[in-house]
Amino acid sequence: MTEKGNLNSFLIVDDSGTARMIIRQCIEIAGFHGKEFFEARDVKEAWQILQQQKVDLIVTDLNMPGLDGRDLLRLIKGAPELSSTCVIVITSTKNPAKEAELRDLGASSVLDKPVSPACIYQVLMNLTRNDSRSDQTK
Amino acid sequence: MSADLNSKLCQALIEVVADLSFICLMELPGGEPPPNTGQQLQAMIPVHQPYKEKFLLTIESRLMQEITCNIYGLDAVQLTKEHQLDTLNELLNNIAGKFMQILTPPSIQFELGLPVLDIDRTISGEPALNLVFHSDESYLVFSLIGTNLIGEVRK
Repeated sequence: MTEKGNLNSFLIVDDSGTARMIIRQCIEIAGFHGKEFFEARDVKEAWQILQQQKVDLIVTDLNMPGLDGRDLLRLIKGAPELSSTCVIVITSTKNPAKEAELRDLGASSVLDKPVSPACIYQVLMNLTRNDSRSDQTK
Repeated sequence: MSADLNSKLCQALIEVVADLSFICLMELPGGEPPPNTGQQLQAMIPVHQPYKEKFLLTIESRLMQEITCNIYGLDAVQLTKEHQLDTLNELLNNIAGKFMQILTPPSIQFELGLPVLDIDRTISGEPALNLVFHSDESYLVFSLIGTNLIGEVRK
């Protein structure tokens, strides 16, 4: 379940340290200051973290050296213990065609670079709202 | 280039820099890239789809330092070269994405490669379109290199 209060740990995956710092700051400013953050420079590091840590939300870049954000999405959605984890993809190459492809792969949301606290806040609130609705129908 | 498209591309670049670093750039219309003083940083990002071309970002070191300081919230003495170069690559990635969003129909996916530092590259002899910007006495040049992208811009 993705209640705001239950979003306690985030995994940020981006090969750029600058991008990871910006994403983390945006999440913190959006109301998640003091939460637990894990960072990975590539899919391999991200996968290692996911084997060892419980993560409530994954925010990943799309274009990375070696395995990319699509590969990470496939890995996560193919792993029963992780498949329900929300994944937000952040990319500089977003357009309607790309967003449709990534949502088909299981992305909860696709954001344009550079991200802002306002757009992160909006996405996290939408995820929360959608989960609340699905809980009410159960 | 049509005035409307030129305006959109310039506005996109100015917005990316302002959103990331709160630095306000001004376009130098028809501006020529200043001569290489050796105090510049350059990075290149390839376009893989729908064309195989590239974007080049050339920026004066002091402007890059100012942008990086603002993004990280650090003083210049606290910055490492790695901070600046990583920020340069990320800045180029963001600007290139915005340009491709403007130049590519929404139904067609576009793909960028990974940005790489491209020190002291000369683009003389290559088909290039340069957009020049300044902030105070520092400048930034964004170049589209390749016939297809320039063709799209000049339609």
